Amino acid sequence: MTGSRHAALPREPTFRQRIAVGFAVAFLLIAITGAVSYYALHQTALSDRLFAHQARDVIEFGRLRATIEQKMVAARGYLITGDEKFLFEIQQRHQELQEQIRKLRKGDLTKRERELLAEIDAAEDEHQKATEDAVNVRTQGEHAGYFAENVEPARASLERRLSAFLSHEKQILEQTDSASAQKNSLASSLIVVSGFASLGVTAILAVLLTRRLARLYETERHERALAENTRRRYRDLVEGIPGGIVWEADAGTLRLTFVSRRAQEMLGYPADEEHAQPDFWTRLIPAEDRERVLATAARALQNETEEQFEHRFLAADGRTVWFQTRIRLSREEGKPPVLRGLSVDVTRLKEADNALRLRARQQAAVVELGQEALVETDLVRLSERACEVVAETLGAELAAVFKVLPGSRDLLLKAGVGWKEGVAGSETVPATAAAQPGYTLLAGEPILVQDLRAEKRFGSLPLFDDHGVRGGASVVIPGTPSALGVLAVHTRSPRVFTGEDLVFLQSVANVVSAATGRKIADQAVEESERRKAAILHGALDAILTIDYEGRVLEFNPAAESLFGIPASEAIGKEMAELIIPERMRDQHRSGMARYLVTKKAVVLNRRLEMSALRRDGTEFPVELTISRISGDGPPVFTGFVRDITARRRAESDRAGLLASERQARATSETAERRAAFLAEASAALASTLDYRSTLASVARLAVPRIADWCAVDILDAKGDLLRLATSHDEHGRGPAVAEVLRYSSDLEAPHGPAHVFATGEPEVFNDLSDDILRAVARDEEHYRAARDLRLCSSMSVPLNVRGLNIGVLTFGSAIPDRRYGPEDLAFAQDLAGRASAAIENARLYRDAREAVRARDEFLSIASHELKTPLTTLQLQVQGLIRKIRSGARDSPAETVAARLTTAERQVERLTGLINNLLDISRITAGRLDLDLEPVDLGAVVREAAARSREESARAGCEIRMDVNGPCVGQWDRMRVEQVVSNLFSNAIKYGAGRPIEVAVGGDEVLARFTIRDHGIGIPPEHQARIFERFERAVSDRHYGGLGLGLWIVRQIVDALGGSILVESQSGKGSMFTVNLPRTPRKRRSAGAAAAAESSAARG
Amino acid sequence: MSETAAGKRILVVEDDRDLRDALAEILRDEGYRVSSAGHGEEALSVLRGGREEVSLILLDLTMPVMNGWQFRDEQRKDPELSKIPVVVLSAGDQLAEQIAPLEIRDFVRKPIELALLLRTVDRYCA
Repeated sequence: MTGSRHAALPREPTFRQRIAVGFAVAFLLIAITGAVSYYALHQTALSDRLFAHQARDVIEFGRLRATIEQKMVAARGYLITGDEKFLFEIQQRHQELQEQIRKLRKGDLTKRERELLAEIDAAEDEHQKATEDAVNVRTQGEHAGYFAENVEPARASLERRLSAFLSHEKQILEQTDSASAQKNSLASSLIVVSGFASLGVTAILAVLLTRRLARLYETERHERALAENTRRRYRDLVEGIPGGIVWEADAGTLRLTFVSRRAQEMLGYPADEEHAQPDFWTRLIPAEDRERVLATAARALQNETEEQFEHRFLAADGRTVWFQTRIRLSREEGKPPVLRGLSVDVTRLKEADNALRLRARQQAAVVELGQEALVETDLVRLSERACEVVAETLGAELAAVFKVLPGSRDLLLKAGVGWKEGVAGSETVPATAAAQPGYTLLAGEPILVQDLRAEKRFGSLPLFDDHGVRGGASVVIPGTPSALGVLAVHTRSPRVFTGEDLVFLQSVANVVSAATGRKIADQAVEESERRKAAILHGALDAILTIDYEGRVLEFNPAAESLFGIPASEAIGKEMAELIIPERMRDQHRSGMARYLVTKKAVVLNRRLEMSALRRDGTEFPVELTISRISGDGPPVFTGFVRDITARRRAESDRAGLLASERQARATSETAERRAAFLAEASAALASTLDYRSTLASVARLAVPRIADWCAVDILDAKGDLLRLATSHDEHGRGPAVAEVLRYSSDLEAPHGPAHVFATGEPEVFNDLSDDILRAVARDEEHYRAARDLRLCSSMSVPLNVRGLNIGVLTFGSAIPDRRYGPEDLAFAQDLAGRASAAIENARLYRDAREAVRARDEFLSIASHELKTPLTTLQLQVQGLIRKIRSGARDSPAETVAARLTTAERQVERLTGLINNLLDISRITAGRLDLDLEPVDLGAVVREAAARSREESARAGCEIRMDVNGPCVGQWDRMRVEQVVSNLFSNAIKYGAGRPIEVAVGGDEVLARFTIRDHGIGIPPEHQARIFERFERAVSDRHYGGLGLGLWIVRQIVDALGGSILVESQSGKGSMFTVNLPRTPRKRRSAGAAAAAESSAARG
Repeated sequence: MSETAAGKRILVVEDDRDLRDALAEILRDEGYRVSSAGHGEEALSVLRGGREEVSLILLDLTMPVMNGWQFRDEQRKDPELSKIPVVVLSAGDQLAEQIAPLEIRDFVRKPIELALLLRTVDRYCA
């Protein structure tokens, strides 16, 4: 149906259907009403029946009651009258009751009713029984009361039961009544309602139906009008479509049945005439489209789908028109299927489309070329490609890129297509306005030539003539600062190039230009990069480039060597991680971040000094300058790093040098002062050999120059420390302690001179504390005195001679700020050394002098000793000579012999003396060696006694021997003889003519030899000294030869490991006892002890 | 034999026995009478206890018990003895210095030159 407006809606039900539905509904309603009514009525009937039933029950029960009452009356009657007819009545009734009850029981009773009935039955039985009993009693005569007592209650009970039952029944009845009444009313109302309802619905339906009908009628009319309208409008539309033809064709034959009038206008064919022609289609659709069109039509017909396609159509005036046609099969009832179509003229669209397509192709070509240009680095190749593209796109036979040759007036045909062999790359054309390329270049704008022959602006070129160039388009290839060249296309036939073509050509030229420009720029960049790389590479400073993230971009060789990191490892890593010490990394990063945010350059372009990190983890000072590389985009920074370790060192060296120079100057001044002092002190020390006085003067010198207090302690022979000298400041704060103190050195003392002496180590106290003073002080007084000095610092150094400590030199300062440092200590030690040297010198000198003196003394004593026997000898000899010369005859030979014998004795004495002296000399020089062998002391003593006999006889000293048996020991025979002889001669000499007792004894270990004289004796005070070597000549203790002899004896006895002692009293004689160990303990030279003894003696 | 010697007694104070004896012998040979003492104390006792006058003392210095100096002190204290001349015999070197305090007439060095001794004795005994 044409103009179906509600194409998609579900089909509306028909009028008839409506009627049917309506009636159905009505019927339904009526049915419902009917059902309801029936139900109501039924209910009513039911209730009526129930009512009736109930009523019947009531009647029955009423009858029952009546019977019971009758029975009761009869019972009473009997009981009162005793008339037997009442008995019969009773019985009658009872049976009747039973019957009634039974009947009732059979009937339809409710449970309650049955209960009640049962109760009645039971009560009745009771009553009966009571009555029967009463009868019995009556017969017995006692009945009145019995009746009252027994029957009456039974009766009452029965009465009660009955009443209950009846009331129950009544209740039921009432209920039923009301229920049925309700049901009745309900039923009636339902009937009424349903009746009304049905009525109402029917009425409504009727109304609706009526209206519907009316409307339908109306609608139909309306629709018809609308349809007519539509048809008309449609026709107008169809006719009115601009550029569109609406048509209809028979589906079977494809013969046009309707064509809108437009067709005539558009195509020029008279309206109906042509259309009706069966080959309208086929004739006027060009062959290339026909098949496609027909196929599409067939498809539309077959599938009944809408199809759309484009095709050409030949217009009457021969134009080819492009149509976009839409066709659809249309089936209408009662009509044959029709192919409907709409064909719109899209010629212009098509043309535009083609043009667009062309342009798109061109643009694509440009883009493609552009992309190639990005990749292609060979400009010649690119130019070639450009020529290919333009030639192809524009459909030209020839294309060329003319390059400006710098320094020449020609253009080089750098690349091209369509030219003869060898032209591209070598042919040049003049860059003048005489021909197109030059003209274009000079004009600076695109030039179009439709036909070169007709061109007025310029002429041709031999090259063009050669190639038959007619048409052409050329554009400038731009460049900076001047054009690079010309891009041209040429055709062999005249050609009109469109503006689009020019645009395209220019685009290509721009691509070439850009590529060239890029190439140049790239080269420039390369060059610059090369230069930069060369600079960086050769730079002595470490240069590194970092991006805004702090990552290393560049790292020059100097940086590599400075930091010990190869560039390959550095690049890409965060600079902070690489070369900045950990503790400063965050600071650096935040600084960088701050710059990036605030753009405030706090650290840029400034010489910063900081620590940098080498790869091996060592830090070193560097000077860093950061600058930002100008440019767009994210910031890039360059850092110049210089290792300033050397500079720092130089600076610190210089500072150090300055400081040490100052220090040195100060030190040298101090040293000068000290040197002066030392010189003075040395002079003082050297001036005299009395070292005690020089030490005192040194101590005095020291104050106050280096100390407020100075003391010298010297070890004396006894091992005490002798405070030799102390010197005190005149302004001293304490009493001048100039006395010489002798105090025992407490070598256990923890501090103080004694400690220094014991350890040989110097001691320095800065800030002397009370404790130290206490430790040093010998007693409370000393401590107080020391404290009074108020010394703040003290310095004690040992005086050392040949490795042996001989004393201590102490300095003390009361000035709080004067602290003794290492230099002071060194100075003190120097002084101590000089003092020690002085002491040593003094001692050596004294020793030397002592030695000389000893020698002199020795010589004097020796000469003295020798002179005595010599004198005797001489006297004897001279006396004899005198006597003989004087011719005295009274000199008998005996006298002469006697005198000569004396002389001989003197000679012996002299010999002995000389030997002694030699011994002494040897012993002193340590040259007395012992030759040990088994010696019998007893034999030696006996021999010595024998030798001394003459002398002792002369002296009047009788020798009494107590020598029994051998007394053997390991001794030096000669020396033992010497000892014994010496003691013998002494005993004789000092024996005063009294007997001499000699004894030899001892035990296994010791041998003993004793010799006692009764002579002048030795006073006790001299006994110790008799074994000394010799005293001064002035001494009255000189015993002549005894001095030497006993000393020698002592040395020998010592050497043999024994001992000699004397017991004596003046005038009582002396006893010498010699103990000799049979095996000597020590084998030592007798000289060593002698030497030690002598120096100790000199002290 | 010396003429002056007759009747003169000389006291020889010398600790060395042999020398004492030798001196005594020599002097006796010359005709002197000789007393001898071994040391100063003995000499004093001889002088004081002596029956005869001593004309000259020959004194050794280095003696035990009482040496020459001590004796001399004692001698000078005693007016009786002090006038007796003393000649010292000594072996010491610095005799002159040592002797000065003794205030003696003369001294003779040991070893004794006999002739000198005799002459000296002769002189002072006279």
